[in-house]
Amino acid sequence: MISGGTTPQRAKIMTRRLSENVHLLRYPHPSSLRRTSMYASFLRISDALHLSIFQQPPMNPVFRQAPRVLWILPALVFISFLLPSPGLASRIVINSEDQYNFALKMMEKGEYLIAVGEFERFIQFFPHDRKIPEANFLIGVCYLKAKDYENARNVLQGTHSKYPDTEVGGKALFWIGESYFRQRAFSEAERYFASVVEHYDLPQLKNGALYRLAWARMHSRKWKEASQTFKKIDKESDLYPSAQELAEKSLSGEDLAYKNPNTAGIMAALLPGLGHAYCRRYRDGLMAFVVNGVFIWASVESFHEGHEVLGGMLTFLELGWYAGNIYSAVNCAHKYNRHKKNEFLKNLPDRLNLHLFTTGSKSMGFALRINF
Amino acid sequence: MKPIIRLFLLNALAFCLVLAVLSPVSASADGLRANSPSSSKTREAAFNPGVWLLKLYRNTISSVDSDRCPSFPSCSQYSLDAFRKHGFFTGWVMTVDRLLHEGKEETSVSPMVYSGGRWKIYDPVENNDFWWYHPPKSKDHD
Repeated sequence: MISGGTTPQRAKIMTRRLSENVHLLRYPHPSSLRRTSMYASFLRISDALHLSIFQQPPMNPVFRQAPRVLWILPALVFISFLLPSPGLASRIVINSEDQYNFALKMMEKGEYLIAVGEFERFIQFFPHDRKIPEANFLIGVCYLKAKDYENARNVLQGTHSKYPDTEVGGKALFWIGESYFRQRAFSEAERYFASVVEHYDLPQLKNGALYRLAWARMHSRKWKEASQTFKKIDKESDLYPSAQELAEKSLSGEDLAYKNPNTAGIMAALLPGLGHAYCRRYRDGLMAFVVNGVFIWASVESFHEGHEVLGGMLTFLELGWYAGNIYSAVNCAHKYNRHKKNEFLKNLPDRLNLHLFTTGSKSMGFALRINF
Repeated sequence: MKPIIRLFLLNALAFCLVLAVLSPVSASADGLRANSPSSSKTREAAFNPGVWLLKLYRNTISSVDSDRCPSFPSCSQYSLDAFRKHGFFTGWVMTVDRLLHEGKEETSVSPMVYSGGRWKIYDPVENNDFWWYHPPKSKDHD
């Protein structure tokens, strides 16, 4: 490396060479890593001579990171150009009519819960529209059609309370009755239909309520009352011909061959199985007779033989069989009667068009603008 | 004392015992049929010997026995539903009723449903208590 000369001369030569190659020491190229040992020697010498060759000048931290930041920023700007500009987005204007009609369309398609959401959107964005009462009412109808009767009644009751003296209020009351009718709670349904008849004079609504009231009474086997109710329907109503026919036919319900549940129960109590036989269920009656007979015989024998504990247990079980036999006979009579009634009603025409009770008049409204 | 009198007295005693022991269970179940939303949960939590016996049957006998019940739901499920809905005494009576009427004659008054690969008689608890049990209204709409 350095040969010959005195120590000051060597130092001068060293200093010169170092100053010539100082750029390599400050910014060594990776390909020159093989010179690491030489750099190490330089480092030791540099330190010894206090030349501070390897001491890099202090840099501002911001500038130290600058190159990376300078790359990221243009990249972000470039990406932002790729994104769709709000100015270029398609613009859709939905007015209240469109929104309401879309909700109706969903309802007609049978998507009742979607329709509920759409009607609620309508109420949210067009709170002053004239169709708000109608939308509230239709939410209740949608719940009812989705068989969510509890929610339906809550919404309809709210609508009725809010608009009691309007057609919508009357229709809401009608549909509360309809919800009970569909759940086969006919006495409740009767109450609501009767209330509509009493408080609303709108012909279509009143006649519809009368028609449904009569049907509810037929389901409750109040045949004469049902016939009278059918007769109250106006001659101008579309329901009049059907009502006249039903007024006549409903009276035949009186003549259906019903089984008296009390008679069935008493007969079963007198002789297990006899109540079933009364309801024309002979096999069930025989089963009831045999099971009760065996348990009674076993109980008697147990007591007779002095097995009081066994006798008590058998008697306990027999009590269940005996009570069950009576219940079963009464139940059979009720089911028999229900079946007879349903078969009879199935053959009667139901001409009530409930669709008429859901549609309403058209109106203009405010506009909702949504940018997509 | 003559055997017949003794039998009568013991029967009367057993009947009174049944009423005394089971009435609170049944009554509490009836009381729980109120409007509170947690009523079914509370009824479930109350000890019901019928439910306990049914679970014992289903876990031991029914699990190794094949499904031969011609009705849907099965008799054990029906019984469980009846005990849960109406308490011990009524549930017991309704279970006996189901065992007596589950035959072919029921098809004349109840619909059929396809379940478990065959047609069965659709006969849930609601089909046998409709003439006396009316679910409480959760809210008065008057």
